[in-house]
Amino acid sequence: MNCKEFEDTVNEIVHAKMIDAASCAAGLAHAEICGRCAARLMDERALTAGLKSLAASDEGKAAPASLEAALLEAFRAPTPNQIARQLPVQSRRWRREALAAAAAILIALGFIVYRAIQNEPQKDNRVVKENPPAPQPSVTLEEKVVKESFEPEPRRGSRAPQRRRGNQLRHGRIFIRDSVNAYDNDSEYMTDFYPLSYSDDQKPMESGEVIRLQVIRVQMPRPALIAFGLPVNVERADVPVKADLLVGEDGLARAIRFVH
Amino acid sequence: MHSTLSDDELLTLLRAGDESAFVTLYRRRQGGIYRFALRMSGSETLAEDVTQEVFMTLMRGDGHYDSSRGSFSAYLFGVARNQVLRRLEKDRFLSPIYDGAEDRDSSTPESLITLNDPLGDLTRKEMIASVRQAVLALPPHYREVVVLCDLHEMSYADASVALGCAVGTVRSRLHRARALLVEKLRAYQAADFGRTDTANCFV
Repeated sequence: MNCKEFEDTVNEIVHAKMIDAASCAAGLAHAEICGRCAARLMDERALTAGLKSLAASDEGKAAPASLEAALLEAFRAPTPNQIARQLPVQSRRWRREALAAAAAILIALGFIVYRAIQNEPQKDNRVVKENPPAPQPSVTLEEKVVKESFEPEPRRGSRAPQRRRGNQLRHGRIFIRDSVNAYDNDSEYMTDFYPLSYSDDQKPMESGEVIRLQVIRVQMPRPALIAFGLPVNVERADVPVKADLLVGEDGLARAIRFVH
Repeated sequence: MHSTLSDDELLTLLRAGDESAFVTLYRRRQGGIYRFALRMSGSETLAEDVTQEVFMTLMRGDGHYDSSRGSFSAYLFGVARNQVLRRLEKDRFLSPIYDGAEDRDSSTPESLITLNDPLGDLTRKEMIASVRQAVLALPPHYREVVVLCDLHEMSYADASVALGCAVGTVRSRLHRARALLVEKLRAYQAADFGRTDTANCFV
């Protein structure tokens, strides 16, 4: 063994670990004939002894008993995480859906109020008639919503709500079979679905993307009809009107229809 | 009651909400964690905080202990090490660590300074104080290998798990750290020699 090899293994020689007996013996033999390496070995042994003394002097040290008591107290106290973990999954899912529905309603109301404010100068106190917003397909439906294209029906003169199946998107002509019909009732008259657009970056309905939709029945201020070009009876302006919102998985309302 | 169970078994019980498993695990491991933090920082307050945080982490189930990667003890030391380094980084302007003979001279208790034998070796208390100072003066990545491998007598393999590095890295760092310690202790010894020599002049 030479001095470099000795230097590389001096720690293992002192600790007598991770080194085989032959290498250890060779290192010790080298230290006997090399004064520099002997001094190095002595330093290492002194350091090891010093470290052992330090370790022994700290041996009895431990965290105070008060820490154990505090930790036990924390262990016994239920944390918000634990409480959440104990909640049934169904309950949490229901809460999520309720929150999504509430958010959708708020967004839709905000939008309608915004549109109503924008159209303010054009309305008077009598029955107001406006053209509906330009067709802007913005909803893509599937799963419970089945795509079927239709040719646009010729519109009749009156825009008064007609009794419909209540399952057609006014602009997208998308036929909705299941959940949309959940609110269908023979005694109700419904308008077409009016698509709701929030921003330019919303994906158009033709993008082919498949999303899940949910229909939520809400009540809205009657003047909201104005925004969609529907007549409003001023005498009943303070009576709310029923509406169905088509709400996507992202919580955004995609379309609305009014129910009488 | 749970004293015969392994750490892994206790951990499983703890996660199921078994309080006595937690107590057993705590009593079994808190001393080592506390001493590790104390030796790394030189501060009892910090050591207490780190011990608390390590066991709170266990309690919350935040950690990701994988028994196939190493022992539970090594995992705990790894959590403690991260906490210590975080605290040292945060408090580095508040709690300077000794580095250099001048700092040491101004803080070494008088009872530990020998005045009668300027050429003699350090007494045991002096030696322990000197070694402690020297360890605390090491850079953290060298200090942690000395604390784990030399003071806690942890194997290189376990230390590599705790430190998140290769066994070879542990070995080379330990080699370098011990060389630094020898240098520092020599420097302290030389400073002590000068100090005691000066003190003798006033006797």
